[in-house]
Amino acid sequence: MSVAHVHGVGLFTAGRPGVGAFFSGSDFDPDVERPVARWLEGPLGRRASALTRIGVEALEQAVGAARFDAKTIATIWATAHGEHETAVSILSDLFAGEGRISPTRFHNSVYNTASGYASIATGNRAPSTTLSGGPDLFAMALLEALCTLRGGTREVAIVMADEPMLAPFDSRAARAPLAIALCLSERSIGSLAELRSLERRRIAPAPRHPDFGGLYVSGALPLLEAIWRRRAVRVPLEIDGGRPGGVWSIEVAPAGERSSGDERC
Amino acid sequence: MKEPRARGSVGGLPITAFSVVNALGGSTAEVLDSLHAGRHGLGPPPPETPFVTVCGAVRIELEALDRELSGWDFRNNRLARRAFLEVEPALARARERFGAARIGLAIGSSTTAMHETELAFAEHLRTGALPPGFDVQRYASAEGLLHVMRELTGAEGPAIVVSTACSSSAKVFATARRWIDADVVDAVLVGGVDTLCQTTLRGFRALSLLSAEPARPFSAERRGINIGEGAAFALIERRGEGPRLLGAGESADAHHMSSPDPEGIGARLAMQAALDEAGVSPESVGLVNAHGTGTPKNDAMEAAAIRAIFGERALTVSTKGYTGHLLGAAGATEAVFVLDALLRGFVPASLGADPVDPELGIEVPTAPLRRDLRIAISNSFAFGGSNACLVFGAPV
Repeated sequence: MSVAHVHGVGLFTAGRPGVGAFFSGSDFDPDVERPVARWLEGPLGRRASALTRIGVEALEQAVGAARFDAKTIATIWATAHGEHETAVSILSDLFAGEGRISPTRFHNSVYNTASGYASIATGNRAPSTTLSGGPDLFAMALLEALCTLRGGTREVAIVMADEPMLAPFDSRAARAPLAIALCLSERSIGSLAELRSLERRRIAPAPRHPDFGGLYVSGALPLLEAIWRRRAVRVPLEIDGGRPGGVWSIEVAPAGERSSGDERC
Repeated sequence: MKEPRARGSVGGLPITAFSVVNALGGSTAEVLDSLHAGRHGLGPPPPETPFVTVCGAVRIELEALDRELSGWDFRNNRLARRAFLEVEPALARARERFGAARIGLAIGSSTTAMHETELAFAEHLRTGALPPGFDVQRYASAEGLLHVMRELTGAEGPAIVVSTACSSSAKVFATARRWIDADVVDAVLVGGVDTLCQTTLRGFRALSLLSAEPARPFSAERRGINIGEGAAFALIERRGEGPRLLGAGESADAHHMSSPDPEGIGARLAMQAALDEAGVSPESVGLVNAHGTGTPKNDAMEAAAIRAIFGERALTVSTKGYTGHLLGAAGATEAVFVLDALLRGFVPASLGADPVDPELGIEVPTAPLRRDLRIAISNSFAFGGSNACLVFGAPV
């Protein structure tokens, strides 16, 4: 698998918007429960779900940092549980009164809702996909991104987002939503970090974060932290590894430096 | 005219096995027999549906999953298993040939186990508790579907669910091609599976897109869609015999969440990208399997986009009048119909199209045809403006 370069990263969780705010241990900011998501201003944004807003916010941060063109970048979205809050609202509507569903809620319930809103907001007609799956979902999104770059696409963004599950379905013990984004290219000029050697290894999975419990998107945090702290390291990409063949992991190094080995994160 | 040059796998990737189960039948042979005979599989909706419509329900008994998969024993997974059993021998050969770690899974689904999630929610409303052992995250989810597929296939390579609504199981072909071209795997089992549920039936009803009668794509009298359910799989390998995946194109409409761009720019971009990747000219395409849902807007937009690329003589068929719209399973299901057309030189009638809408300006057959087809394409469009087009070729 070829080398990819990270040109920008983004992160949103309630109270700590941005990669810097999150990893520097900034105090929880109660005024930032909802993301700004400037792309979603106006009537379009009023219909957007919370999950869509946090994903778009993370993408905006990453695209802004990378100085990529929001109108042409290919996007790979990933979510384990999709538009869960919208889905639960629909279930409540199904079993109340005449069982009618709101048409806006229905089209907001598909897993590619955020992809759709982002493309409409920016006028971006580039290919976009939305992946789902289990603990290795972030690794699979990275794999899809690397293969997309290998196929000749110049710039790709990954966005992964999930939110705490609602009653009666919650069993993930998460307290806050999390969205992360990375902008990738095979171009090294202007990059923050280099990624190489995405593979399964027998290393420890990423630790669970107390805010995000079993949300698989938190498997992306070691990679984002290594990029932010300019570490050269192999990082795990899953919180709950355990499949045969080991935990999906990747080598990351600051731009201009090569990773020196398999130091655990 | 100079032929464009293909990108990626030169000559395409062979599809060594395929299968399909839906309202037309419980096996690939039954489904294709019905298609060739011009019989649709549409009938009454589930009894809890509070309005008049018709659905493409699978009416055969679906066997329960084995005991070790009992936690995942949902209708969606039963459908997937039923369709998978037919390609199991080919998959076993691929596993033997390449090794389990070199076999990937890319499955499209938009509902997964939504039907059972609705039932569980209703039970919680009644009793204050979910059914024992019901865990939406672990079992009734994309993760659960992948677990079942991994257990059934023994594949140990990368595995994903693509969930882009009605383009889901077309886009898995594009993913498979990327994985094989990047040498991540040597074979990918792609497919799609979706199941009837009240969320989709009432949701499309809320959008005023459901027809009370069998859908009639491309007809002057079309009134909307029918929802169906089903599963389909295709095994794509690096080397082998069979019809070929020549190219895939993807795009976004950037227009509206649930209405197609009337100018069809995104649809055209996807078709052109697929032709470019395949390295084939529009003139060489003998059959267009359209997304063709039967809504006034989709069919008008799609016909204009097809006309813009292929001209007015493009032979265009929609099979949604046979099965209903299979949503997340539609792309893979219709890919199988196209593969059958390439293998047997058979173009099904575009059921319900008669009288064809004269405004559309494309050639829609209202009776089956025999054609020596070499190249055919298949379109899938979705909520969120997600578009995909696949190019397939006859065996070399």
